[in-house]
Order: sequence, then C-alpha cells, then structure tokens
Amino acid sequence: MSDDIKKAPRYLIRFHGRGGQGAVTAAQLCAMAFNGPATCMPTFGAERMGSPVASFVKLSKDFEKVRTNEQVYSPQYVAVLDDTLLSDVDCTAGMVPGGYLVINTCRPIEEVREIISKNNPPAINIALIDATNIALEYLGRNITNTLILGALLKVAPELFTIEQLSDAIADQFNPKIAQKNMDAIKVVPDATTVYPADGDVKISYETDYKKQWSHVKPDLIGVKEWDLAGVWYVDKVDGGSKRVNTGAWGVSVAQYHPEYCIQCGNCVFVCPDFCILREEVDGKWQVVGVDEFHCKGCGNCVAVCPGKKDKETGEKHKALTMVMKC
Amino acid sequence: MSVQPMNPFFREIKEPVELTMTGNYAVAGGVTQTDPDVICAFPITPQTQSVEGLSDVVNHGRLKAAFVNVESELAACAYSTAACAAGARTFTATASQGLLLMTEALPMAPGWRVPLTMLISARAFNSPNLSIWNSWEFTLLSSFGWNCIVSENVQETYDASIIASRIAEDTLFPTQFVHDGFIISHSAQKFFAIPDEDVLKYTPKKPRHHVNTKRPGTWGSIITPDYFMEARLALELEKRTVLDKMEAAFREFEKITGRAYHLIETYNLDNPSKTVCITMGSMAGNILTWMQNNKDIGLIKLRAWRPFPAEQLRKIIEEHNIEKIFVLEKDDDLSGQLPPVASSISSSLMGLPVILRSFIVGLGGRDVTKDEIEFAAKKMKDVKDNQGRLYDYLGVRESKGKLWEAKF
Ligand code: SF4
Ligand code: SF4
Repeated sequence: MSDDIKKAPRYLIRFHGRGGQGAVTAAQLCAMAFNGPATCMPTFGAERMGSPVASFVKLSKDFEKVRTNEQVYSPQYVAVLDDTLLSDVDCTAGMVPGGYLVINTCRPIEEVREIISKNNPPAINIALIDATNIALEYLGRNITNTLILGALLKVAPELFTIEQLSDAIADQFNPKIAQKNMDAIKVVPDATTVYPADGDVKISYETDYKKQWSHVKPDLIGVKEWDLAGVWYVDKVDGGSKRVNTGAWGVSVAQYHPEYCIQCGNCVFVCPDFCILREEVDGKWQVVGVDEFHCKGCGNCVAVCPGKKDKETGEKHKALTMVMKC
Repeated sequence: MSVQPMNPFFREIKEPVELTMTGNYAVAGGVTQTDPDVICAFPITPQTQSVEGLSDVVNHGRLKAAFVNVESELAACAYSTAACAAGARTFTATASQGLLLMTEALPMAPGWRVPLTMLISARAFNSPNLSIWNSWEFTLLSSFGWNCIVSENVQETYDASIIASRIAEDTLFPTQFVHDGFIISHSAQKFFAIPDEDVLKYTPKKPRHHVNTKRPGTWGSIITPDYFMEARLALELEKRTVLDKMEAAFREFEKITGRAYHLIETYNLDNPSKTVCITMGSMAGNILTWMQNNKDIGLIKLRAWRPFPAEQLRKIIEEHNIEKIFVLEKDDDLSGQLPPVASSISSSLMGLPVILRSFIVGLGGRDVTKDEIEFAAKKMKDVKDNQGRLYDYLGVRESKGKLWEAKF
C-alpha cells in the first residue's frame, strides 16, 4: 500500500431525518459519489414514516480505515433533513470540533444556535439552507435528501465533486427524476449560508471523539426494573409504548366526532397503534375518542368509518376525520 | 422513490464493475449470476431484500427461474430440498425464528446429499423479547451436516453467494452462507461484481444424482437399526473431505477475481503479547480498523464455521506459539459452558497450553466498538490460567449508570 493512501483522511458523516425523507438514500448517494472505499448504514430501527432515523457514512481512500462495521460516533459532518429533529435528538452528539452541521431550515441562525446549545456542542460551523422550498419548487414534493448533499458539497468540497454526485444520482433514480434533482441542486450553493465557528478551530480526521461506552447508554432506565420474563410492569416502570410519542411522527391526526358515531367498532380493529380510545359505558365498550399522543395520522380509521347522516342537513358524515396539525 | 436496487443486475455484467449495494441486494445479485433454477423462501427480517431482489430479476426476465412462494419457512426448506433433489439449482434464505421453523426439514438436505444453498442473515432469537437485530443464532443451530461460511462485509457476502454454490455442488452437501443481519444486510458498501461469464464458468451445472423417473429409487424411506449407523458413517466420511474442497473452491475463486479467501484468515499473529482474538463476520472489520493503531494483538478470522476447521486452527496456534486467545462472539447458550464459538475452538485445541476466554458481545444488534475490543484486550493481560468461568458478557448495562463488569 502506498504511503499516500495510508495518510488518506477518513471522512465520517451522519444524516438525521425522519422515515420517508430519504436520509438513507442520501447516505448511499454519498458513498456512491465518493471516489474510493465507502460504506454506509442506517440506524437499525423500525423505519416507519415520520420516525426519527439516522444514517452513517464512512469514506476513505484507505480501505482499512473504513473496514470497521461500527456506527459513526464522531462525525466531522452532520446533515439534518428536518429541523424539528433538532429538539428531539442530539444532532451534534460526538461531533468533531471544527466540523460542519448542515441543516434544512427556514429558522434564523440565532434560533438554531439556541436549540442546539442545550446539548453543549463543541465549536462547529453551521450551514443553513431552506431546502424544503427549493424541493417544493423543483421536485414538487418535500424530499430534500439530494439538496442537502448539494449543501454538504459547498462546505466539504473534499468529499466529492458535483459531477460525481450527478453520476450517483443518475445511477439511483430514473432519468426524469434525476434531472429534476440535478436542476434543483444547482441553486443550492447560493442558497446555503455558512456561519463559521468561533475561533480558528482545525478539523481533525484522526481523533475519535466517541465517549467511552456511549453506545451502551448507561443512563437509560436500568434492567433492574425488569421482571423475570423481561417484562416491565407498568406499576414499576413507566416504560413501553407509553413513552413512545408516535403522535409526533405525522403531519395530521385523527379527530373523533361522537355525534356521527354508530359504534360499529371498525376503527378499533384497523388502527395499527391502538389509538382508538374506548370506555365501558353501561356495561358496553364504546368508542370515545382518539389518543393523540400515539395517533400517527395514517388515516386507516377514517377510511373504514361509515359514520351517519346529519339529522339537520341529511348529509352523511364520518365520525373520524383527518385534521392537519400545525 | 423510484429507486430500483437490482438495476445493475438487470443486464449481463460483462466487465468487473464497482457497485454500491446493501448486503442483501448484493447477495441477490450474486445468486442471480449463478443462474439458479428455483428460488423459494419465506420473508423474514433481516433477510427479506435478498429474496425480494431475486423476485425483481425474475419478474424483469433477466433470470429464468421458478420463484416459488410458500406459506412458511418449514415449507420453504422442504420445498427447496425437494426441488434440489429433483436436480434444480436451488436457493433459499432465512434468519432467526425462520431458521428455527426450518429445523424439522434441515437434516434432510445433507442426508440426501443435495447441494442446496441458503443465506442466513444472522439475527437474534426471540427470548426473552422480540429482537429483529443481529446475533449469531446460527451458531446454536448450524450443522445437521450443512456447510457454513461466514462473511465480513458486502464484498465477501456477494462473493460467498457465488462460492457457496460451488462448494455445495463440489461437496454435495447443502451450504449456508452467513452475514450479520442489518450490519451487513442493510449496509450499502462498495464492492466489485464479477462478470457473468466468469461466474458461470466457476459454477458450471454438472450432472449429479437426482430424483429420476427413468431410474426410480426409494428416497427417504425407513431404515432399520441394521442400516442406520452405516448410513450416518457414510455421511461422516464424506463430510471429512469437505474442508479440502472448500479450500480448493476458494483457490479457484482467487484465480478469477484475485480475492484470496481461506478457511481461516490471520493477521498480526507474531505480536509481542502472543495474544489473538478469534472472531468471525462483520466484527473482524471493526477489529482490523482498530488494529491499525494497536499492534499488540493478532486476529484470527474464521470463514469456515461448519465443518469447523479444527486441525487448521490447531496448527496455526502451535506454529505461532500463541499463548492467549480471546473470543468475541455474538451468541450465548445460557448453559454455564463456553458459548458456541469458544466451544468449537476449545475442543479443537484440547491439550495445547493456551489460555482461553470468551466475551459475549453485540447481542440483539448492539454495536461492537473499540470500547469492547480495548476492554477485552486489556482484560486478557491479567488472565493467567484457565481456572473458573471462562466467559462473560461485555458492553452490558447492569443498572442505571452502571455497566456490568466481565468477571473471570
Ligand atoms: S389515523 Fe386513525 S388508524 Fe391511524 S393511527 Fe390515528 S387513530 Fe389510528
Ligand atoms: S368506525 Fe366510525 S362509526 Fe364505527 S366506531 Fe369507529 S368512529 Fe364510530
């Protein structure tokens, strides 16, 4: 192996997005666009629409440096596809001082700084781009994963060239969509504003900033609370789905209108998250509402709800409708 | 979003080409190139895309194979075994609970000597709770006479999907190839694909025994105590020739691709501490990257898991005067004895003056990082004999704010 290759830096990138926004595809495009050994992996969870996901990319001309199949714990670059994640997840976790945080947002820099400051990030450069609006204009839908790569390219031209990125996109999408994406990417550099870190921090491609045992998360609720069968009894631990706010995943939520409900029970059976609330009334189980903390807005219940005619207008109404959250 | 993951395999691959794909799709690509006649599997995470990818190439018309949907893994294994017995080149895939459900049918393929191939995308069993993530379920359930090789990364699992077919047909024993679920199955990595022509030359469809209407015989009939043991011994004797044939299949593969594989691969064995780590699969990559800056230990990476390359391992340990061995394995047996990988190793090394410990890591998809490797390497410095318990868990939370400390 030549000495040049042995000296080659290792680039570590992390993408944050929500299921369906294409964070995994973004990572894969990165790997494809890089000229050299590259690997990428998603965080391994249930990637459902709206759930927070992350994906990791490792790039280096020296294969041995990216041979590891570990996740990325100290990225030099982090790209965030959805700024609502900034409050939900620590997007700056493990970031290398002098690294770049690229965010799709229309919020002002002060607000972004304030949100991320609660996680005490090191001195990092921040780049902001309103990719959603560009995506809506050029692609007709809010898929920003290729655009965020354009922004990443602006702050990290060492990763790949615009031509390499085009080739990767052409490989991955059908020609029409690829062309639309490429047209959109062209306007990205000008639309990206970079706010340099305070002081002259030199980025390191060698130092590993992983906190020891951070992947084991020693601070999570302990295992002492488990029962014999690996069960968390609710009287001991406030665990399980009670804490998982699937309601934060969707853009809409089901709303219940009792006046149109015929108590057929259809909705109960189709809700994937058991969000149709029921209560015993006069010895009978009755539908009484929707659990908004968990309703992720899939619309299944609305689809099967027969509803009934309004007494006054004679018009038929469903007892469940979808409403947008703001 | 209109991404067609199997796109590169929709046409003939004429030149060696660099691709970026996930482990599962790469396997689908490799299997496509071996031109199977029958594909039959039941979907289970994290194996699903391997079969999905194959259904894509069959649907596209690139691969002329029977793609058979069945109602369960047991049916998949039974159907695949029978198809293979009928003479078809056959591929199946599974993981975890699916492998468990297959068990009833697993011993038949070695018994009939049919060269079925199977991908295992390694995943935990459900106990105590459901986990769809990576563990080495196959170490507790492998064999029954199956061959089994394990891969480190996407390149290796793509290659294994081709090599397995060759090994199976050269040995006439069904062959499993394993990659770590999610860690490899769902990671996209760059790898080099082999031209179709080379794959076909490497895996020619040679005539072999099969169910034949022109030559009727009794397959799977009852055999009395007068014969059963002879039948088992006959299998055993044939099985003893497998490792040589595997090694030969690797050599042939190297001639075509330049990629050298062995039953056992070794790194930095002549190190100052005379200590080696033994592991297999994706963790080998983690350790090798770590070893770039840590030359104090060596690594033995097992590629052949079944048959276990006992003699070869023993020879390596003796030749390099290895004094201490630690195993990193993603399985446990809850039996108080060494976990499966260390068990196979220790029985291979009986009587040698080596000190052995095993660390159980990475169960249920937990990442194995430099923290585990460093801890294990350091711990081994204090270990001086083979007294007491020889294994423990590593990288586990004991209670809030506290880690379980591996004690020997
Ligand atoms: S939209 Fe209806 S079915 Fe879907 S999660 Fe909400 S309540 Fe359940
Ligand atoms: S499906 Fe509609 S009408 Fe039937 S119980 Fe549910 S809300 Fe009421």
